[in-house]
Amino acid sequence: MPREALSPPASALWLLARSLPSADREMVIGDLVELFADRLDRRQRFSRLWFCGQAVLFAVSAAFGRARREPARSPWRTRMGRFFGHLGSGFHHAVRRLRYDWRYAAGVILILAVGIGPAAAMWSVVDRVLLRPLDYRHPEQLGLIRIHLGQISNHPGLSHAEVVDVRNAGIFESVETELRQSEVSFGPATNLVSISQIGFTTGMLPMLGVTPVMGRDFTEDDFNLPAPPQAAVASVSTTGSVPGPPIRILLDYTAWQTHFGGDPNVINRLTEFSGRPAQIIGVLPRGFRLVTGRNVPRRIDVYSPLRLGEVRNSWQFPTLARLKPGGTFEQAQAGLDTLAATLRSEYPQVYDSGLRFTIAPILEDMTRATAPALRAAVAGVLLLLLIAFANATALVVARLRTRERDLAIRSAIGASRPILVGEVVLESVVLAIGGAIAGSVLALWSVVAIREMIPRTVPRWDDVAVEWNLVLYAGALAFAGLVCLGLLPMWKVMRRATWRTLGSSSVQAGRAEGTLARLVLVGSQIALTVVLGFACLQLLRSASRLNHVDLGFDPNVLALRVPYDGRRYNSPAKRGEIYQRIRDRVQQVPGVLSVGVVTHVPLGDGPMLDGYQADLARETSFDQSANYAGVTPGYFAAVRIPMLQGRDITDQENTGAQKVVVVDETLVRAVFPGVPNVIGRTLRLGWQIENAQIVGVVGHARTVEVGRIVRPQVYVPISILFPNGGAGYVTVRTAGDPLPMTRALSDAVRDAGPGRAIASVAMLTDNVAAATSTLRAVTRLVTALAVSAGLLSAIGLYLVIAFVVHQRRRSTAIRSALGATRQQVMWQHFKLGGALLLAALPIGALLSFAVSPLFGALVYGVGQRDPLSLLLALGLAIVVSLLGIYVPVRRAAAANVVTALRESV
Amino acid sequence: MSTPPLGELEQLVLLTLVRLGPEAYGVPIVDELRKHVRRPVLRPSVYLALRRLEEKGLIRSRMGEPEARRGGRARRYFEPTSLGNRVLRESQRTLAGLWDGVALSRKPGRPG
Repeated sequence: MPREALSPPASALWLLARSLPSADREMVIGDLVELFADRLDRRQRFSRLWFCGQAVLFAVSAAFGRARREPARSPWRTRMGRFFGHLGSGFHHAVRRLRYDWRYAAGVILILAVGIGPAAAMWSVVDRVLLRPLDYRHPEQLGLIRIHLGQISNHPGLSHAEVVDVRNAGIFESVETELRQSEVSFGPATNLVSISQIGFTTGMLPMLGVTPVMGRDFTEDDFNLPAPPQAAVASVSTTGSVPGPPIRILLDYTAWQTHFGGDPNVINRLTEFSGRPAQIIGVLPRGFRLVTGRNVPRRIDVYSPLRLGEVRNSWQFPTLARLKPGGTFEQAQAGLDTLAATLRSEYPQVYDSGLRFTIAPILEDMTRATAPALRAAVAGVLLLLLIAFANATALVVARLRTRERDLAIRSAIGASRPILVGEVVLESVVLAIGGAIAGSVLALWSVVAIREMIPRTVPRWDDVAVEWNLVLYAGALAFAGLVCLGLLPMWKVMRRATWRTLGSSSVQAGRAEGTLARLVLVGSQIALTVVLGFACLQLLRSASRLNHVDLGFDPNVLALRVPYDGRRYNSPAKRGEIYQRIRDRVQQVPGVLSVGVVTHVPLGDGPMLDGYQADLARETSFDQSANYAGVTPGYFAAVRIPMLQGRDITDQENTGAQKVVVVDETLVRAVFPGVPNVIGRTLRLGWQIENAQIVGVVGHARTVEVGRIVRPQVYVPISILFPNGGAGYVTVRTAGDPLPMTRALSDAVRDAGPGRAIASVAMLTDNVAAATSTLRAVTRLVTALAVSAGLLSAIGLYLVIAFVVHQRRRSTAIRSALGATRQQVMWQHFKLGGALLLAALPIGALLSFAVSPLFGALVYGVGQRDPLSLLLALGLAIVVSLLGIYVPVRRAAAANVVTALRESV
Repeated sequence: MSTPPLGELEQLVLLTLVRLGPEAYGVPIVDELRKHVRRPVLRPSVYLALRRLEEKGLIRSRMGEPEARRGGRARRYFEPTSLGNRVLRESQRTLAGLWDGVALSRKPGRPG
């Protein structure tokens, strides 16, 4: 639990200290703090919220309770006290009036909450994800360098040699890089756990302005370790680690707490890291995260030092740079352009398809992909907020109309205008407070929902949290609402509460003042309902189609993620042997049908990309890229990817003896169009494997996105793909439900060899669900918005029609008295609503088509401008609108003629 | 000597102090009241009642030692004064007299 959660909120203590009389202060605060501590001991939730509630209660009771109950003896009896006393009784009366008219009050509060809740929540999310600066020293001066190389465009990883080149060019104050995150086994050999690690160059922490809370940072000396004897590296003991000098590592704060119980003597402790000894030299501050922009930073447990080499054709090192003091990104970009030109002429064989570097501020780079979607969502909720305010104000004004005569009479018999205005405003204040409270609750819920909805690939996703500032945002929005709710009616009262109102007796002969503005407002609400309804239906249809996609594999498979010790199994033969052993051992577990190991499970953490080429004559960069996965024999059978031609990889091939590859039908279609049999053909694969013989062709499996074929898929023997470590997934198909067998399967993997810690166990069906989670989440969000908009536009229509009906009640009554039938009366009113609908629906339809590209990426299986969705949305808007019209019109037609005439005279 | 008038909550608080003895302070007082009273008891109203009782001279208070658990703040213990005890006895006598011979059915209009 964070430390601040263990103490009462400072704001509540401040409120108590200022509101309580000095004689009671110590007692009350002490008692509340004691109760707070008791709650924490009992692990009760929302204790800080409880404390704030108590503080507010005490403050209110101190302000109002004393002023009312002890006017004579109170030491507080000051002018302020009297003011609060009046205010208190004003509130009291306002609450009483609203309680009497509770349907109206509940309606306004609900409308406000529907507007305020999502808007406050969305603002909080935008603040967290887009606006809040990163926790580094002068984060605005940090930039991420991207590289553009022919087909590899806007790639966030540089090669080692390029990082050195950028450093030597003197464009930046400092340039540091990191290596992609990987999973390794960690801890004593008897109790290995799986952790995530990342390596960075030694200047990274000083550049970011971060210092370890304990111990020290990396230095260049950490690299000057004596090399381990060759014989020792080759001999892998069965239980222990490879002997050799310890690698220096830094611990993440949370990892220090979880794996070492926050032990202060952890510095210089020796442990095992990916099969070799490691020495802990420091602990990083709490909350530190290395943000690189390339992928979403997940929790990292251990940081290791990274030394730059001389490789120029492996672009996998995200590189951060800090501007020189006073420098700008434009100047830096100019420097990078010059450098790229120099490198192109120096290394023409590497950069034959072009080279360009770009740099952007790191926060901008991180949020570039999410910003448009978030802005669109903000625009949506703000629109909803405006409509909610407009509807709530219309409701308040409409109610005021019914009280107009009452106010005029009171004004006539001596009530001063400030008193009348005060009454109206206080009622609005009570409603706004109610709206703020209900809106806060809805906002809290919305943030939880939005957190669930945002895909995990959004940077700073886990920063989105339920926070106190939500209530602040809701309060601020409610205040804005108060200006609408309070000031407009107040102005109306100031203008109208006179004898003139009584004189005209509020019988305007059918003149509907301000109706046009209301009609435009409601018309736009109907149009919005169409737009959101269209988006919602389109997404719902997409989600339903996506559920029935042929994935190309059967995901009812258990996948056990096993980190892999590259140093322990340091040759293809050893790797092939250990994977064979794991497979054989798991195969013996009763109930197992087939087993295979794969490096990248379908729809998992992200594919491994590399180039491929059928033309072996060409030397350098690759034209095409494919998703790569390393597999063992049995994988295709385990996940049921159909073998179309040829055969599976064999165990012997998996020891690296022969370079073979299994490709999918998509690649065959792209590279060998019209060739009936591609078995025996060769491909050049990536930069690790020169040429490989195709031994099999399998069906395409959707490994990256459920909705579409992203790239061809290439399967190589697992022993070849992993020279330096990573994780393998043991995929197991069982006869029955695999989950109860998890324990037996994990034990089997552990038995197979040393240094195998199970990192996670999951069903591939979970991956499929996660891959479609964005669509489902956005669908939920848009559905919620569409329902809210539909509800609000129905209320808006109801209000405006009811208002017009009320204005025309006298003429309606006269017409009825003269013999107009009920149908005629209803039709008269229906005409107005019908005309409004006719005007608003085409606008809604046009707008729907205009905004449809926003959801384009998520729509699957239905056209981007799906006519059926639009027709359904229009139908829904018509039904909702007719409901809004029908209720007041029916009431008008059913009204008693005599009563209507009597009341309106 | 006439006794000061006593509100319902004041009376309940006073009685609670007698039940709890000399170690009564805010937290147990509210807990004890909530245990017995079948409607919501707001904490601030109890503290206001304590203040009024003290101003009427029916209870007196003393400060305890500062405690770390309370953020270095001291408890304030309350106990009834002799006047308070007398008021309570009178109230009990009045109530007992009024209740004497009265039998309420559980629900008016239905034998029970």
